[in-house]
This record gives sequence, structure tokens and C-alpha cells, in this order.
Amino acid sequence: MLGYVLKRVGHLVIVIWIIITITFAMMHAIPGGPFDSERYVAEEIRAHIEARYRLDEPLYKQYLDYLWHVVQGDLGPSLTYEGRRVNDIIKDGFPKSALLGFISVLVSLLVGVPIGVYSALKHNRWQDHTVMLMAIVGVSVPSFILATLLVYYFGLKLQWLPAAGWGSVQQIVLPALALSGFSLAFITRLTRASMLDVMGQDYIRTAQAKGVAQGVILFRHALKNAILPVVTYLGPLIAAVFTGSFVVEKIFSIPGLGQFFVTSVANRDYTVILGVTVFYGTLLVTMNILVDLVYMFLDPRIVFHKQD
Amino acid sequence: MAEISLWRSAARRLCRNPMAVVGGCIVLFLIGAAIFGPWISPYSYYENDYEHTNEGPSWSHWFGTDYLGRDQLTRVLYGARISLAVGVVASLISVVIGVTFGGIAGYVGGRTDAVMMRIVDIFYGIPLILFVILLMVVFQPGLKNIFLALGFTYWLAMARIVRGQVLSLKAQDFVMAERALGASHTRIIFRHIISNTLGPIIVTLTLSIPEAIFAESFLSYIGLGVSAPLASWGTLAADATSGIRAYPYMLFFPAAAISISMLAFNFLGDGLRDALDPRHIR
Repeated sequence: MLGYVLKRVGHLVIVIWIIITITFAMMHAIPGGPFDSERYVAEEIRAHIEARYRLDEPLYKQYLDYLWHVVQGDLGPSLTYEGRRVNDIIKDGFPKSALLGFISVLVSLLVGVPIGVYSALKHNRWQDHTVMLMAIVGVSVPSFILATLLVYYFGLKLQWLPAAGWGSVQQIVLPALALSGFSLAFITRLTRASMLDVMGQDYIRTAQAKGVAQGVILFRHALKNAILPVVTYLGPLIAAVFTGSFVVEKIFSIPGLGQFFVTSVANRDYTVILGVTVFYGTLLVTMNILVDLVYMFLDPRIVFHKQD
Repeated sequence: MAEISLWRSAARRLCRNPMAVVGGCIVLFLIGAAIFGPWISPYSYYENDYEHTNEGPSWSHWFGTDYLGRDQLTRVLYGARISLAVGVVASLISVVIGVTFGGIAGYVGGRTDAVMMRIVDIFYGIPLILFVILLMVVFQPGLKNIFLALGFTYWLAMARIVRGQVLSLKAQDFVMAERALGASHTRIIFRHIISNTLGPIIVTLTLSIPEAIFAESFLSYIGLGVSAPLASWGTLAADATSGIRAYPYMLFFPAAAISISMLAFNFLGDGLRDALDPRHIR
């Protein structure tokens, strides 16, 4: 068990190192990139960059230096915003994105799992077909389209909820819905499929045969096992929510990290792009590994075939 | 002989699945519209008509016109060319890479396999779209770079599937028998392994097309897609967003096109999976 944990943590370190190395390589490969003297950059920032990245040193020294800074959690200065560091930008924007993402994940789980279970219980009846149809539509509509439609209908036409902004509870509703649409539908499908699978197994029939109450079978016997695939999907789910938030935050004018990232892409603010990539990459890979570890605790069978 | 009946029975199963048939028909229709649509249309995708800007759908412009008076239907049809081309070409690139990588890992096995799959494991945890964004920023937006960026990032799933398939096939009796009869590696690989892996490959390919279309529209949306006056569905949707209050119909058509094509390819892919793998029960 401990060996497995250590192995995964080692894995994590390697992945983060690879992400940092790739971003470094790309930063130097960009034509007209941050270190190109042709590019116009404010004097103060240029001086900063030259001091910070030690452009007069040989490449490997620059690399080690960069690595050392990132390991210490210093992602460097922004190219377009004078006097701002990538760290400040992340510190500013990420809490908002994280809150929005957290709510979206929560909504997907709290709505998706019950609907999936319900659909499985009504297998092949009209309720099941309706849910599945909506779930298929849900996974086919990209989040930015869903977001725009929500803004249009509920924000502009019906004026039920604010169409943009950040700060009040009402302002979170629409972006959270837009962001959770895809994962909600996906989790519904996943829960339904795995619930159907579990409900067909022998131990459920045994429980039914010995007269265990239907509710107890459902929650204590079936759901406990049926939820496992949903747990494995949590890693990709979190990743999907955060990358989805790039456009959703832009559409709803939420001053989160996602919107900032998109703006930086438009401005070609390379240090911010790379810094945020390193940050999100590290975050999501860590999440993935945490999810794997949680899964291992939930499902004791998993440990037996760790050896591969 | 056995092979023909396998494919034929798969085709029969596919035709009995109404969702897959509908999906397949829509896919064919979209491809047809993408190829022939722009020819038939009396308008071009780049011609401005300042007399008729921002018009709603009408008899002369079925989908209306945009802020430069360009015919939206024609632009959506051209968008279909670009979006579908991205879906297909990017998926094909990823199939070639994934099949080669996974095939070698599975067939050679041993330490090579362990090292190669460890590489896949490592990249698997990283959200791929971040990589694609990074690549597009570095190598400048454009159609060719989208093909390459998506193709070179999205092959991991394919590699895993093919490797698993090859590993299990390699150990089966008929391959063993063939080897005992003195068949060469080339014969075993092409005659037995690849032909038996084709099913999962086709399924994964079909399901990766909508993924690529989605990724492309996402990239276009954040301004990393094809450049004007060319437009993919994602670009059209992004353009429409700024005028959503006054001209909601402009978003409707590209958005519907993206969603319908995703739906159709997903239906078709799911149907193919059920048809090609009879043991797989839903």
C-alpha cells in the first residue's frame, strides 16, 4: 500500500518536471516570443525579464534557474501587466475559478448520481429513455454554447438571473449550470450504466431473496459499488470543469483565472500562459493522483493488481 | 470467408440499431453538405454585402446574414468543411501514431512495453487541451497547425486500446499455431493482429472525431482557430456571441451544427462498438 502511494507520488514529481521542461522548451521555441528582442515590451518589464531569466547565461543554466524558481513556486513576471507577477494573477483569479469549479463538480455529482440511479431503476421505461436522451444531448452541447444560450434566455430574455458578473449568489447560478452541463450528463450515463451492471449481480439477487428492504439494497448494497466508476471519473471531471471554465468565465465576465488565461492567450502574454499551464497541469495531475488514492481506499480489490 | 461474415454480421447488427442508423445518416448528410454545399450555394463565404447586413433568415438567405452581409448558410457549409476536416484529419493522425505506438508496445512486449506504456501513463494525467493550447500559441493558429496539434496530442487512448488488444491476441492459440507453422512477423502482424484489432480502432476513431471537432471549436472560441475569412463552426459561434442580444439566430445555426455532428458521431460510434463487439453488453 505504502509502496503504491510512494510510486504515485514519484510519478507526480516526474509529470510535473516534464510539464515544466516542456513549457521551458516552448518558451524558447516561440518565434517572436518573450525573449525575442524584436518584440515590443515595456522597458521596465524587459529589464525585469532579463534580470529574471538571466538571458546572458548558457541555456542549461537558464533552464536550471527556471526549474529552481518554479519549484519554489515563483512563476515570473507578466509580459503585459507591468509590475504584476504570474503568482499574483493566480492568487487573484484562482479562488474564484476554484469556487465556481467546486460548485459545478458538486452540482454534477448531486444531480447526476440520483438521476442516473433513477434511470437505472426505470430501465427501458419512458423515464429511462427521456433521461438518456437528455444526457446524450447534454454531452453533445459544448459548454460555451450552453453558456451563451443560458445567458440569452435566462439572463437577457427572461431576466431571471444576472447575465454576467461575479460576487452575488445569483451570479454563480448560470455559470455553474453551464459548466456542469457536460459532466452532469456524463455522470448520469455513467451512474446508470454501472447501476444496471451492479443490480444484475448475484449478491443483489441474494439480498432480494432473503427479503432485505428495497431501500437498503439500493443504498447499502448497490450504490456503494455502483459509485466506484464515478469516483474514477472525478479526475477527468475536475480537468473538464477547469478547462471549460476558460470560456465560461469569459462569457459571464467572471474575473477568474480562466478568463485571465484566455485574455493572456489573445495578448500572447507568454509568461502568464506558461505559468498558468504549469499551475493547472500540476493541480490537475495532483487531483488525479488523489482521486486514484481515494479509489484505492474505497475499492480494496484494486491493490492486488498494482503490480504491472 | 470467416472474416466477411464477421463484418457482414456486424453491419447487420449496426443496421438494426436505430440510433446508429440515424447517426450514420446524419454523418453522411453532413459530409455531403460539406463537400457539395458550397458549390451549390449562390454566395461565397467571404463576399461582403453591406446592403444586407445582420438580416434574419429569409428566402434569399436561409440562415440570415452576418455583420458584413455574408450569407450564413454558406459560411456554415464552409464551416462544415473545416470542422469535419479537423475532426477526420486530426483523428487519422492520432490513429496512426496511437496504433503504431500501441502496436509496437504490445507486440514487442517486455521492457519496451513497460517503458512505452509508462510514457503513456505519464502523459495521460495531463489535461491534453492545455498542451494543445500551448502548441497553438507557440506555432501560430492555422488549419495545418490545428491538425498537427490535435493529432499529436490525442493518441494516448488509442495507444492503450491497441496495446491491450495486441497483447491479448498475441497470446491466443491461433497466433501461436501460425507461429509454429513458421509464419513471419509481418504476416502475423498484418494478417492476424491488425485485422482483429480493426474493430476497436474503427470505434475509437469514430468517437475521437467529435472530440476533435469539439476541441477545434473550443480553440476557435478562444481565438486560436483558423484565421478569417475562413471560419469553422467554432469561429462562427464565437463571432455570434458578441451580438447575441440583437441577433440570436446567428448563434443558433453553428451551435446546432456542432451539437448535431457531435451527437451523430457519438451515436454512430456507440452503435459501431455494439455491432463490432457482440460480447459487449450494454
